[in-house]
Amino acid sequence: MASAGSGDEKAAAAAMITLISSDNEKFEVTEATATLSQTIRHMIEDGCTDGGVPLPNVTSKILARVIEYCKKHATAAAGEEGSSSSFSDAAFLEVDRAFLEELEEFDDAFLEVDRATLFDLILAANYLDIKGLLNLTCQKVADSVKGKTPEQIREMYNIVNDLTPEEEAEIRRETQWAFE
Amino acid sequence: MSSSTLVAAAAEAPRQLRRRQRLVKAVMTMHLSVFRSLHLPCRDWAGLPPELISCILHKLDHVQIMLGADKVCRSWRRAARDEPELWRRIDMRGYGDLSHRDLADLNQMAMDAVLRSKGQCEAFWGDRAGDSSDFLSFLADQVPLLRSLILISCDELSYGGLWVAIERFTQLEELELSECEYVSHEGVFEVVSKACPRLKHFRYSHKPRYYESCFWCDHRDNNSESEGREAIAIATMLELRSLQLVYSRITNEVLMAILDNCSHMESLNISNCHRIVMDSALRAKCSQRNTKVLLTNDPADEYGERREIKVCPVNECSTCLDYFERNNRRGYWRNSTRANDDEPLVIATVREVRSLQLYRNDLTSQGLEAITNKFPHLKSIDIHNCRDIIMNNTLQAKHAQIKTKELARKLLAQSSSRLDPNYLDTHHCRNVIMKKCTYINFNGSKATEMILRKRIRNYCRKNKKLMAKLIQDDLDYKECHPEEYEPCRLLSECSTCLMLEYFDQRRKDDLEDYADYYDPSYGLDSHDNTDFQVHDGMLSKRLRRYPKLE
Repeated sequence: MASAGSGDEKAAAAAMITLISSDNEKFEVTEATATLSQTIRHMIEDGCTDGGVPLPNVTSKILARVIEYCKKHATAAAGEEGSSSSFSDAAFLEVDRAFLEELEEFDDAFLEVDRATLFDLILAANYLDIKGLLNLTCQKVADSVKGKTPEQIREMYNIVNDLTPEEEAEIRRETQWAFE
Repeated sequence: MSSSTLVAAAAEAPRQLRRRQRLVKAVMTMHLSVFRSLHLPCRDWAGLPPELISCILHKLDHVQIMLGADKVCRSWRRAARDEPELWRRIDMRGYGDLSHRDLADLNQMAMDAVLRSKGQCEAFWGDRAGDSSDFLSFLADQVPLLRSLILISCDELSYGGLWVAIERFTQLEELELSECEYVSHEGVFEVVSKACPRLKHFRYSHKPRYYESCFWCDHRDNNSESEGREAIAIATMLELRSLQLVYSRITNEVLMAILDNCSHMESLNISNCHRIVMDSALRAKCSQRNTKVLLTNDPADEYGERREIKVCPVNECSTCLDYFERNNRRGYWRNSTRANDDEPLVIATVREVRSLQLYRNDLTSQGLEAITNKFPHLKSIDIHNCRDIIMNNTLQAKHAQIKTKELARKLLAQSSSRLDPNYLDTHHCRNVIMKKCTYINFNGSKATEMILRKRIRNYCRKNKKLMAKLIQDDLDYKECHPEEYEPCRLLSECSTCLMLEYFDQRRKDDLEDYADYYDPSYGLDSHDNTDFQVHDGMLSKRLRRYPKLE
């Protein structure tokens, strides 16, 4: 997947975009895949993608994962468009459902990562402005926080308790309604 | 958190910081731009941009935020508290247990949540939360422009408290009062209808407690009567889009009045309303308004049988039949055996239909009635192979009405699709009710079909002479082709018989044994699905006697 696409090749394959990670690795993706990212879409619209799109905030490891996500979801979007013309067809609906299930499975598997990678994915999704990925990763964090006490959350995410004494006092006042 | 743990944490903090700094030093040789995305052993989750923290918080319940996430650190706390947007729609449902088991005071939490919204709150949804009258008046003080209020299982809430508060929420568009024990029905509809003129969605559910088990007994008291009548106040909520009355004692008349007045009604949930009988008038009214109706009974309820009626309005096209033809071809009708009355109501939403073919589906007499009610322009209807349809007196009357409007109509029932309906059309059949008797083989020779056509023509003219001639024809045919001839009762049709039936050729003979138990007058106007086979058998037997009778 990581191929060194030079500027000359671009003319031949106009629909391909080269993404350059922070550690100078080059990724060539189709335009449909790349435009899932609003940031890159704007760059394409402005016509400043010649010679590749440098992404100094994203490492090659994370970029590879992000592209994996985008590829999957770009095909999903294309599939939806294709089937919308015969939307009422029950057979197509059946296919759609199967496809959506597959997509969900992919998302679940995609999120099987350690916290550090998750953190990087959130930042990358935010930087590249990929709404679906941002939602997905934030949901993962939210799910892991659910039902945990503040101490447990701190421990889980290595967060230092930097609350001021006033805030602590305020929280104590609040916690009167939580009797536990 | 006690002061000792605070001190410990304070001592711990610099140590952790130092440790982190050491680690950072070890990899500082890398380029500065990649610093952030390096695989450090720990990421600074507290240092996430505020918009990302709030993005995470938006995915959490409000109760979850208040119990954990907003006490983690300063940046998370700021994101949780200082963003009114997060508290615009306060949803505290699903935590009733916390209050029930005395783990938390959901009322206080609700107040806190409302304060955090800084007056921007639009919706409050609580489940055992906000169940004091104090809270409601507090809510009205803070956010008089509240648009949505859901109160579930608020047992402490009194009727008076609700009354006072609800009058201050004049902008309410959605209101749900479910299982609030002391908010009894008396006058509640009236108060709501007066106080909230903009109400679009209303749900009221009051499940009877165990000590009210005689709830279902109709003779119980006047209370139930009065509630049914009081529901008429709902009819003054002119903006209603959806209405849910669960466990209500509302009656058909009141529901009709509501449907008459609330012209925007889109969906109606009348689960467990035992006094409602979904009759054709109600159905026609619902289909006229494209109203989706959900009518279910508690499966645990021993009194009512389970009924489910869902109506899906057709929005694709209101003037052509494309939709039905497509579905017919794909066997859509055939597959839906349970929800068999859906379709007629769907069809009844298309008013301009001139000709309708509904062969081989699960349409019932009631459904057919709804259809004939709804189509002023109907000229031809083909319902052959609909074995659930019985032509009863009502239906006959309906079709007679069509005839007086001078509309040609054919009503054809037969068990073979090989009979050409176009042929019948050319003869402007007025009223063809055809029964196929047991021995006719429709799939056979062309001659059989010809006889059949003749017979229909003759029958239409109601000319006895021609009928007699037809018998002669049949006998002639028998003479000419003795080997092909199968004994068929050509005139098995009685001109006064109102039955329209489909007989299964593969009818089992042992059904004949039921003949003795069968009362022929029973089941003409009603039918029992389970006994259909028996019914078929009985009827065919009965019809075979007709020629002799005439």
